[in-house]
Amino acid sequence: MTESLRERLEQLRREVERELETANGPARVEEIRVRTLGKKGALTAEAKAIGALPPAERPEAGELVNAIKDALEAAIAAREADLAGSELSRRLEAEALDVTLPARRRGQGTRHPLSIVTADLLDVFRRMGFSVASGPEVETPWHNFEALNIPAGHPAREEMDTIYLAGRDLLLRTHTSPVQIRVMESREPPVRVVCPGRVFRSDTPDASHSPYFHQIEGLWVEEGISLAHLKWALVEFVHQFFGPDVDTRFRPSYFPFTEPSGELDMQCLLCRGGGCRTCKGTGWLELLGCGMVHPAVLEAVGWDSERYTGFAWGMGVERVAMLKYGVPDIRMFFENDVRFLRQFEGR
Amino acid sequence: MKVSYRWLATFFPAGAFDDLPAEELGRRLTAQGLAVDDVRPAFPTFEGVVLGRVIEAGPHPNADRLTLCSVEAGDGARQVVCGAPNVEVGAIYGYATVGSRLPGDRQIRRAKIRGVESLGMLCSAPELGLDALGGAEGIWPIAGARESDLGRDLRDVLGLDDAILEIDVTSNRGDALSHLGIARELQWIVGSDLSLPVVELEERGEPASARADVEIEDAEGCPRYFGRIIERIVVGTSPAWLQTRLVAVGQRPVSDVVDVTNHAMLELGQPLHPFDFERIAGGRIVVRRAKEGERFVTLDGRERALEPDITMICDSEKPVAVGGVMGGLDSEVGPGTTTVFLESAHFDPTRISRAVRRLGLPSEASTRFARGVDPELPELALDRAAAMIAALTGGTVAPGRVGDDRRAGSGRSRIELRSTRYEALIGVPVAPAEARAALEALGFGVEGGEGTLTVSVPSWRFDVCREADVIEEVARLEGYEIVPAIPLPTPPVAPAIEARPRFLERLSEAARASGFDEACTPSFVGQDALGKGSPIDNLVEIRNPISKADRFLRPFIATTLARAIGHNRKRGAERVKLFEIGHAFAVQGGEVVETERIGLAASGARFPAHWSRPDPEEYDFWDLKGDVEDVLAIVAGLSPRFLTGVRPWLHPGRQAEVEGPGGEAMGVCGEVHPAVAREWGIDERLFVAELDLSGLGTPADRGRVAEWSREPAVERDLALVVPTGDAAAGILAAVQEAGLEDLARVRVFDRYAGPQVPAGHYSLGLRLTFEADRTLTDEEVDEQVKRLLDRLREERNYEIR
Ligand SMILES: [Zn+2]
Repeated sequence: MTESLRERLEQLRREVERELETANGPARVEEIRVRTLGKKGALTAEAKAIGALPPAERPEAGELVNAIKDALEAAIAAREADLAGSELSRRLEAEALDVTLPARRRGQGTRHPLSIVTADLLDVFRRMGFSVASGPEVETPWHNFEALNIPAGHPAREEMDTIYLAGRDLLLRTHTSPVQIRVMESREPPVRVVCPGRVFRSDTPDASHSPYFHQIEGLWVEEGISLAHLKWALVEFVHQFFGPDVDTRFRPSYFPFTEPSGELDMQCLLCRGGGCRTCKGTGWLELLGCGMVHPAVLEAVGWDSERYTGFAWGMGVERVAMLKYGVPDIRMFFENDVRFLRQFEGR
Repeated sequence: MKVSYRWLATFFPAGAFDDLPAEELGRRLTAQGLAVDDVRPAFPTFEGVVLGRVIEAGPHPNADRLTLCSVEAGDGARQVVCGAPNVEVGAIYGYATVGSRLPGDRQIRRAKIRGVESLGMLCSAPELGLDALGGAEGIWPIAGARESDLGRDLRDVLGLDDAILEIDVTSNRGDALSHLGIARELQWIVGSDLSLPVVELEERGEPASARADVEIEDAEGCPRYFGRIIERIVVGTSPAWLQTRLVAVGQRPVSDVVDVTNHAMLELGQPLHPFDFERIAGGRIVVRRAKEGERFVTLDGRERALEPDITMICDSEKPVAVGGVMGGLDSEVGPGTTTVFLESAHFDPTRISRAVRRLGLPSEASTRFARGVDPELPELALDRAAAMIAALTGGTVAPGRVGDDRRAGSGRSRIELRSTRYEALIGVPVAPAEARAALEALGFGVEGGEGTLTVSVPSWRFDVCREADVIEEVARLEGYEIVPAIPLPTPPVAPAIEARPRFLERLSEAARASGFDEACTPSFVGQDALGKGSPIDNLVEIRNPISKADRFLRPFIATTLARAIGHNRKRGAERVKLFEIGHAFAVQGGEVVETERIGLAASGARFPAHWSRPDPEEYDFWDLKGDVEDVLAIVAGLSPRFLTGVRPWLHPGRQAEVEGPGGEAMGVCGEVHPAVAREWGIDERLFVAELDLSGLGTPADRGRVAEWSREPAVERDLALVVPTGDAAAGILAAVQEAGLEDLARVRVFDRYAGPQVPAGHYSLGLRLTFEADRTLTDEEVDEQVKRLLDRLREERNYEIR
């Protein structure tokens, strides 16, 4: 009896194993499982038949059936896993992308070159101990001229090409220097400020002129400050901003609100001093105007010009940006063409 | 200003410039504060051109248009074929000898022209690159050339080997606007004293005072006035050397009389004016203020309205010149003039610049007077020019100057220069002897020594008023290059990180994170800034705009940003988002109010184009509102409120006023009214927002961080049916006001209007999220929802869908 059972079970196993081998999908495997191990399955029937056997034979028969059941379950599970695996790889294969296609970007905005340059310039001066101050664009003639030692009728005032408001004694500041006055009016010495901002001149726009442009002004007033400090600060600035190898040239000039006055030239960045079109063959580029604060300016805000001395300087942001990025026409900064603006991504 | 190297050399002993080529001179002047922008040859180069006289001329045997000339250039006659129609026997021309080189690399060779040998060429001015000196027609006779010049090199005779220095004279140095002024600066560089031009004045005939007199009434406008009479003159053209001098420095030769006055101005710095003396009624000059309503025809033929702060030069009957600015048409020196009255006067700089501004008449003379001319210069310049006019025109100078001098005092100031102050300002000491030498080289008088020098300022240095000015004079001659660089003192406390700049930086970052590119737009707008026909009462108007159209200051940055959007959309950009942080202006209560703002503007696709979305979604109001909320949340932790707006330049149904949490006005956002957008050249939908930053920048104190629930949340969805006029914000507020204990959040998840709800109503879907520290039961939550619904039904008559 046991022998014939063993034979039947072995045969069942061989059949099922053969069928599993050719099963081509999970559905077929399931069908085999139900037919074999289900409630009405072949093996289940054998298991049920054990109860009808004489008691002495039952344990051995039970063992036999369980062993086959374990073997078949394992075979079915293995086949299932097999089939599932290839199913997944087929799916993954189908999901493959051409990763060289363009990405979907969220489109973050870019910074305007004038902002970049302003921030970089301010950073250098912050490290020297300056802090940032600002003031209004609409100014009084007092702040823009008189307090800066530019009385009415002064030739420098005529040359400024000032834009005035209609019907009011107000103007659009022609330089950021009035911020110096506002800072000194509102504080006690010492002051150490840099003042960025938009300024205005009645200039017809062309490649190097715009009726509105931007300046950065600096002012350092305290006891014991001399032209030698000014020279150090500005040469240091050039070296930090443009590079330690850039030569500078410091020469006398004239501004009504500084005395002595000077201009700082730096070696042309394009030709490195050899002479080219950008520097008109001189090898030098005018960078900024500067000088020792005129005693009349300190007196205008009620400071003791014998006790306090200081220096001031101012420079055009557009000019620096044009040099730094090789922008040939100042109007490009204000055209706001995104094909220009987006070139400053990440700069 | 253009300065001639040769002309400068005439002020110094021969050989003084031997070690100072023009480029070096330029470098030294620049280092001394007179910036030399450019040094270049005055004229094109050529060689081998001498002066030659045509002693005979006859027809060419084989050509009608050619002339056969015999040219004498000091070493025997030579045969030259000439093609010009204006050959004159006896005239002296530039003769390009065989082997000479002309500009443009042209070499002159022995040649046969139509079978006749020609040894060289007679030159036209253009052939020598000297168009400005001679006419373009035919060969060029050299004016004023003499027999003794024959065979001499044309370059030497005319003084063509010269360099021009282009000097950028700063506005304080009116005294440096002449060759004399620059020569004074050179005394320090050259190391020798200059000498003033020698005036060889021969006076003859009846004294000038017998025929002319001068009276100054307007002593403020013209403190000093002098004149001379030069008679029996024949007005002609200047000799070539004088023309060359003028042309080299950019002046156009006119006639000998006018050229001499220009020469004196360029040489010494004193503008002069020649009158035809016969046109001066009564021989009398009266210097007075213009009368109210007076009119005058200037040299350029234009009639001009005068004002009392303009100084007029008048004769016994009428005005003859605008003092220091321009002469009159009537009294102009012309070819028929036989007697000249030459004016040399000093005018007040302020009054002159005012007159120039009133009349819009800048000239070489008025520019100099406006910057200031040496008040002691008129006599020298007058004598120098009178002598030259007499010499060139064959006239005679009547004895004596006529004039009037109303100047109060010499005006020379004395200034103390302390060596301690010098060192304090410059950072390095100067030896008293060195300072004295520098100042004396500039013409200052110096007394004293040791600690303090007393300096007297020469009459031409009216810009030097106080000690700092004198210090600069010494420092610039010493050279800024020798000033050491001394590190700045370290402030005792490092500067605080300024709140404002940092806030603006973060604001910019927030806008960029939302996809806006930073722009920089003009401050000027037209009266249609907010649409055609919009009121302009609140716009700030410019008195002297660059362009008449854009004569206002922008009331919103968004309006100038919108133009930039239009620019980009027209050029094919599918998605443009721009922002700018800047100033905007308005008139409020009669005052100009300037505020710092951020403007945002967007148009086109919501996202950058991508191949996976062939039909991109359009940016809309909700995107704009979200961008505004994002920016404010990032920079200030602010949740603004949005109220229905009524600005006429925005879409009537798609705009909102933005308020801060305390109800303070912060700005506006919305879709631009399509009619206005079209005026700005944009046909697509255009969205703008603008926020006033004045109240922002200090982060709001939002207290401590709150605990949050660890228990599962319970959600309930409601669809309220509400009247169309009830805004969502009010409904959400009403839900909050109901005060449900465990309500954590409310979110709008749906909005529907259509057949499913009664007419005049819409359905608003709300998702309520309840959270508590304990596990919430359905009963608890249901009870709270019921309470809410009861309240909404009772107070607002809302139903549930
Ligand atoms: Zn260069």
